[in-house]
Amino acid sequence: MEEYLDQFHRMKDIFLEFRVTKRTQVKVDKQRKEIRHQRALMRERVATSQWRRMRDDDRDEEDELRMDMIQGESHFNFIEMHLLSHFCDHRRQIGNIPIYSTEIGDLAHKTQIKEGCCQSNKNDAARQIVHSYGRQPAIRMRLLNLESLKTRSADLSPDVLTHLDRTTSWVLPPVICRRILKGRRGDVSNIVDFSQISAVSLEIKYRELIRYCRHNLPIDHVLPEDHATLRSLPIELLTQLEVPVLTFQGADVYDIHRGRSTGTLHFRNPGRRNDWVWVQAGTEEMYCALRGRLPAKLVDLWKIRDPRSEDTVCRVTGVKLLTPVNSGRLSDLHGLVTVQMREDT
Amino acid sequence: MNLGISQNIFHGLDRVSASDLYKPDILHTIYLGLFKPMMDWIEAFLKTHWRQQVFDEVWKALPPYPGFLVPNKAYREVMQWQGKVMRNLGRCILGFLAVALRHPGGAQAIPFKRALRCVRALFDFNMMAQY
Repeated sequence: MEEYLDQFHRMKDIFLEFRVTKRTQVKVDKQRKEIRHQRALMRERVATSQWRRMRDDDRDEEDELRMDMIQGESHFNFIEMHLLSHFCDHRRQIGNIPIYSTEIGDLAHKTQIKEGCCQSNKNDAARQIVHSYGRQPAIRMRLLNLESLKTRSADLSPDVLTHLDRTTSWVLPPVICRRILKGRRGDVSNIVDFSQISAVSLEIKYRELIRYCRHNLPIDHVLPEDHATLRSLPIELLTQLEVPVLTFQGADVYDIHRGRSTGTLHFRNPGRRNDWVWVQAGTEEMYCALRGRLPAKLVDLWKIRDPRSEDTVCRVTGVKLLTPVNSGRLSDLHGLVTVQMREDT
Repeated sequence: MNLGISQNIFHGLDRVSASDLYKPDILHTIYLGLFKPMMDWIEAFLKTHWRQQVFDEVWKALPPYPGFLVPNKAYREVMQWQGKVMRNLGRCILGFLAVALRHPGGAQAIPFKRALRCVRALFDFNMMAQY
């Protein structure tokens, strides 16, 4: 953290010229006026060409003076600049900043005050409001503690156990951690229909599908490779891909991230929507900072079914990958990775 | 009843009101205290280098993502800033700026580099301060 702050303070000068106060601006204007006045007094009439050259020189000089003035007058001395330096110590001493914030937040309008007020008996309410808000997290913490004691089979009195059973009788639904395709579109039944409404041509589809089958599918589930049979296979086109992503620091809790791909159709508001996803395109060592992952655009989502061999179903996603510039190394200019569109796919 | 503030060292000091002291606070110090002026500077910076248009376009073109509010107005059109919008901004501003400052012309390279470094350091600091 200190390092970041240090770098910020070293680099912030670049924005100094935009921190000009009105007073400085007035001074700058005054200075410029004086210079012009002096020049006008000094110089007699001169030829036009010469005059033009001199005017350019003057302007450069004026700019330089102005920058000097601004650099001298403006500053970054405001309280927040300084306050930042205490954040690191504070965090090390007491912990994460948001929970120790003592500012009155917008939460006060509802959870802290209104709900507390509703629960009070309106008699000397302030006291009760303060207590009710403190009590809520206290009870939650207590319950969690008891819960963990119970799982470690510690000695708890029977009434505590019955109470715990009552409060936590509901069971969490089993976690499904598979990617799911949703949002079926009715207007597509085979690959020819599909290529008509898609931006990708039929030939490319065949080629990529066959390539995918060869590399990724087990031998007994491989799709046929001739175009005529492929053409006859039923297809479902879908618009939504649900990807479960582990929550931050969570062991078995997943957030569902939805990637939509409406193809050429419009999504709700006028405009097509093809979301961006990360695709594992290689091993962890590839592409340096990207660690084998590349950003890609969802082009289409579909299922293809082969009724002849025990109902093989392939769930296929067409993506348009981006290529990392300089094979994923951090740019010297801004310390980020740059990517660019590929021309061929 | 344990209501009430216990005595602390600031109560005894002259001309000090304990409630007005600065506290570490993300919203008021970082979001409102620094991001806001920072955005003014960035905007002025972009204006001097004629990059405002690109910045606005990138701003509008962002796709939605869980936990991320899509800005539906160009940067210059937003009149009122909420804490949440500021937080969003903190996550993606660096990318915007990197795109807006692409392909610097000869003399621009050094100021662009410095500006990006500066913004990057501040927003990295913010990211660390949140956790």
